[in-house]
Amino acid sequence: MPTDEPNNLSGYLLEWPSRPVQRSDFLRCDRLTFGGNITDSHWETYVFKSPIPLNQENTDFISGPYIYPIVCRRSGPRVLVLSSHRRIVEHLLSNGFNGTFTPSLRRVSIAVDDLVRALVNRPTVFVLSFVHARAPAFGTALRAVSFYGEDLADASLFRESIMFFNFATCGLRHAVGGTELVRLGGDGAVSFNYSREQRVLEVEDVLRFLSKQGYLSTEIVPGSP
Amino acid sequence: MKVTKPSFFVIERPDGATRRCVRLVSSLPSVLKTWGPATRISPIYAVDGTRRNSPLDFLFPGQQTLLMVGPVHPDQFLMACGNPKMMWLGLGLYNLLVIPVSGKQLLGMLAWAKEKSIATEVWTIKDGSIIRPSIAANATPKANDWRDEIASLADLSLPAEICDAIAEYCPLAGSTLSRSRQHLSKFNISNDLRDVNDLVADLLDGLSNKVNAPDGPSTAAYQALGELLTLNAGLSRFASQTFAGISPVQETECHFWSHSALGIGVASLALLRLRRFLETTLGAARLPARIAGLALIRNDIPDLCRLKSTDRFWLADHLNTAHTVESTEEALVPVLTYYSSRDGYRSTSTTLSAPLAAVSACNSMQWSLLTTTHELSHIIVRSVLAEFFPDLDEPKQLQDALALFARKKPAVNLLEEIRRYLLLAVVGMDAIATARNGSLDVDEDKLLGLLDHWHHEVEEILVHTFDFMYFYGRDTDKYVNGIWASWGTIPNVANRVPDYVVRTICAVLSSHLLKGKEAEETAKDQVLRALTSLKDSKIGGPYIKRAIQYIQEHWVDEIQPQVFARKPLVRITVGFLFSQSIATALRSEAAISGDATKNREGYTLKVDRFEFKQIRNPLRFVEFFTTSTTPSALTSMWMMYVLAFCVDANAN
Repeated sequence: MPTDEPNNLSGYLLEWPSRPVQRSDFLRCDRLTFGGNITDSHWETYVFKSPIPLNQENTDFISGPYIYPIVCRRSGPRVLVLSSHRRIVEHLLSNGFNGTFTPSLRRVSIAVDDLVRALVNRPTVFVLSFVHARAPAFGTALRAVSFYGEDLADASLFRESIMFFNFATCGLRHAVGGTELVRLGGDGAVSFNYSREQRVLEVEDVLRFLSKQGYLSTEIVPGSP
Repeated sequence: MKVTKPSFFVIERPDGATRRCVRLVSSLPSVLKTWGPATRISPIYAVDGTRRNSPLDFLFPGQQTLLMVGPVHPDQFLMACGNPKMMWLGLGLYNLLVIPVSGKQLLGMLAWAKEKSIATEVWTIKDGSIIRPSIAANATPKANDWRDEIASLADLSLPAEICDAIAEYCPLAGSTLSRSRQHLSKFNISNDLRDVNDLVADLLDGLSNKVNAPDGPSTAAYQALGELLTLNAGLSRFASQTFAGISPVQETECHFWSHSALGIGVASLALLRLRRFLETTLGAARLPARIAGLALIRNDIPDLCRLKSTDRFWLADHLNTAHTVESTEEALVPVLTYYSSRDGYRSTSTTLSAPLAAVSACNSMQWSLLTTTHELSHIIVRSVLAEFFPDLDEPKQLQDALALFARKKPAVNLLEEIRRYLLLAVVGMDAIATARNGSLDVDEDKLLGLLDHWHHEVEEILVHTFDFMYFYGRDTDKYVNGIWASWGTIPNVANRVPDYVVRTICAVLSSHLLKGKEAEETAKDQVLRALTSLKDSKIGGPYIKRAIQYIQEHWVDEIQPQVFARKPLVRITVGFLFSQSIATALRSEAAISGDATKNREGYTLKVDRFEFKQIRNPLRFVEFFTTSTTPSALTSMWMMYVLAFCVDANAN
């Protein structure tokens, strides 16, 4: 069975509290095989063989093992793990990596709420193309809102109402134009459209920006209470 | 990190033994059969996934080393110190009981704890007998200023009864403060306790020079005494529950007997986190000062009696735009929290209690910590009503109120107009209750009687609506489940069911005011549907069936007229006590994921998994995780751990 060529990559930004993550750590999971690097990048591809279907395959017609692409970017103790659907990564983390990473990999929190407010107040090279937010003051009358656009912070309706929202997910694009680069969730969720190989480097730029600006945090810092 | 089934940590001195013994047993009856005068127990949970499965029954055979450490989240401890041989979790301030793999690992754990100012006690145990307890000193209390403050209170000349109460308070406060400095330096408890001390100092201020008053102690002195006794009772419970089980563990004892060995310090911290959050959000909003500021709004004051429900004036965030009138008002959120079987959910101006049952059942709707918000709402609404209602002991205020009542046009400012609207509402409520037709001639005495009679009901309607809007997010099902499930635990209140029904429908009416004539019917139908669902879930207790029957049989002749008469009170709450900006601060939670398909409003916490994930809003956490119909001691402990250790203290 051929590996799916994913158009969308979804997964999580993770951290291993023990030490820098190495390729050999991944390969201790016997269902993973290394597939090579994405051209001119540190991004790695793996193939994950699952005995159970994870992507709503029709088991009447398709028998296992089920093969899924895994895309990773390792950087010290942090690692971005992606696949064609987030539930594949969730399965890999809870089953495939069970016993491989001890202690287990932790999700890196992305301070989406702070990020959105900062992008509204202090525009940068990245702009908001999407946000999803809870609206806690209005109770059941209005639970959540989503906004789409090429530069949300440039819309007065959005700017004037952000005080009522808790932002949970956002999408970023370059201020100079182009399509959405990446979508980020507060729980470390990362997804993007893998339209071309260059895209992974653009996503890497976004993650570097987030790290540099202090929007990434792991809640367990070894040795701290 | 998962835990397995509970067992009991038992400290005892068997007959004839010279040393105390310790053991873990899974069966409480087996402990009770050998219970002696020195026996104490606490429930603990074995951690799954340490190097060996931590057993439920353990007699500490051979020579063992037991480390007690805390308060600390187990995830942080394991991350820093590595997996021990065995580990158990409890609710005491020493919340982790650990058997290390080796002496080297023990030394590492002790060094880490010392570096982080986390207290430890180590027992060397031989065949269950504690042969060598060893206590690691914590940060020694440094500043003596609080001791001087307490000492100065004891030095005051005061009426005799107050001297007795102060004689109780001072050593109690001294002990609680010094223990909190030793064991809870990271949690800043001493700041809360300093606030308590300031309160006491304020209470006594002015009394000391009246000690020899010719007509004996004044009313003010007895009021102060009452408040002091309330504080003493709360502080005593807080100290006993929190600091039982600190070093030396063998020599302390919690009066909550099912936790007599280690206490419930983690549960105390959980309640304290909730209190602090409320203080920094709703307390900091200073609602009474904002409402007083409505007196500064003098232009275009509408006649509230004639204003349509759909008028934009009702929808404006008046509190957000009002100027705050500076005042020296006391904090709105009580400073002291504790658990009490006798007091249950109860608030005074200085104390806030939750039932002891919540310690092992707060995951269930019947014993939810969210119910404390109803008590807090009473405190806030009482302060607000002081702005709306005349002081019945002040003739001038009564005369002004009478003039306001007789006025046939809007008052001169918004605060006065709200007062006028409230007075008319009270007369309307009385007319319905007495089946009076036609207008009422009101003089000062009559007005005094009316206001005195209806004050309590006005407060209840405002509190229920306030609670529903701010704390339950206008979620009818959640609100009805919450308040009726907690009422179901109170015996002998069946005769209050009609009142509870009216108040519940009034609260829900706040969501439907824009619907005009359909508002009351819609609110009634929504409450009826929620009550029916609650009845089917069998958690509402004996009053639900009675409530449903009452609505079905007496909506037209009894309930609807009462709800209609109380509608102005609901409007006042919606229009002038609720603020979208304050509600946003109170109900915001930034630590959520964007996955809207998940339950729990985006929280990524997993029930009963002791993982360190920070949250920012303990109130929303309680709201979304108190969903069970069945109490679970394990899930309740997990919730206490999240509240005590995972609330981002920097966020509030």
